[in-house]
Amino acid sequence: MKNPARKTFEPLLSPYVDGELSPEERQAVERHIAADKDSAAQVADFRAASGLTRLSFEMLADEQDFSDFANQVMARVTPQKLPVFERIKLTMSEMFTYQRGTLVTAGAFAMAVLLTAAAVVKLSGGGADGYANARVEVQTVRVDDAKVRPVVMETDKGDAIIWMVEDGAAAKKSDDARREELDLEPAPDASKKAGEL
Amino acid sequence: MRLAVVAALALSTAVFAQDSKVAVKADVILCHLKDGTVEPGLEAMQAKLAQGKKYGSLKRISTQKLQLQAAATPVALPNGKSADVSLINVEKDVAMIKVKVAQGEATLKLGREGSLYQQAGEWQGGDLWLVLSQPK
Repeated sequence: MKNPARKTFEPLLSPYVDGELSPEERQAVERHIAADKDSAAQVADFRAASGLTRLSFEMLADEQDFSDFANQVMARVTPQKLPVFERIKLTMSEMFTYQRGTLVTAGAFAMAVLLTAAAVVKLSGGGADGYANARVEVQTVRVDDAKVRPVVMETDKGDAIIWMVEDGAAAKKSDDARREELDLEPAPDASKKAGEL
Repeated sequence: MRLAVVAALALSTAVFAQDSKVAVKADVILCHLKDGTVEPGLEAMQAKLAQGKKYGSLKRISTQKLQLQAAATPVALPNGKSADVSLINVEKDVAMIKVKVAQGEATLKLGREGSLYQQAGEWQGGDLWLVLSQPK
């Protein structure tokens, strides 16, 4: 003969096996199982089925390779890479926001190093200041002595030679004037010595 | 650290603020037409001047390194006079200088190659030459 209470407790048997009942319901179901063999057999069936299910899932899980599971998950959740300009902008923004003091100090230090190096080069004359021209180039020549005239020569080695050559006519004129003052005869044309201009 | 940075900046500013200077080597050479001795190192000068005068002896009277600037730098000559050398300007790293001797003056641009040979007067029967070149 069937236990009339079984009809009430039958819907609770599966949740009981799955541990989904409240403590009061669980105690009531356990008292019912102890008194009703059919319900106890059904609970045993449920437990066996649950064990088989768990076992089959564990076997399926064992067949899978989870060695790189974490990396694959992280690769999927990594945000999309920003363009280079955006990344630089973001980096600079963060640096200026959180490391402003360090940046200013580093910038000042770098500028000081550069200026010092440039000053050292300038002081040592390493730049050969003023000698960018390929060769010496005479621009102007002026003489204050009327008896001489300048003669500028250039060599193929880049030299410039400025001779102060005695102007024959001017010198003679000056000499004649001096002789007239002294009441002397005019001097004959001076001939150049050998080897002179 | 901050003190060092400030000191470096001050030093650099001072260096760059100073007037530009150009270094020049100035030699004074006495040349005679009569045969004599040519000092070692002056053979090239003798050859270069040979297109004007065939000097038989060349003697170095003095050599000095000048730091040219706007104010004239005198180079003493043994005849009691002097040659004044001054820096007119430096444009694009090319120095324009003025050389003033008793008989006149000349302006010229310095060059990497070559020297300036400027006849600068007479002494003891010979010719005095001022030679300006880039210091080595």
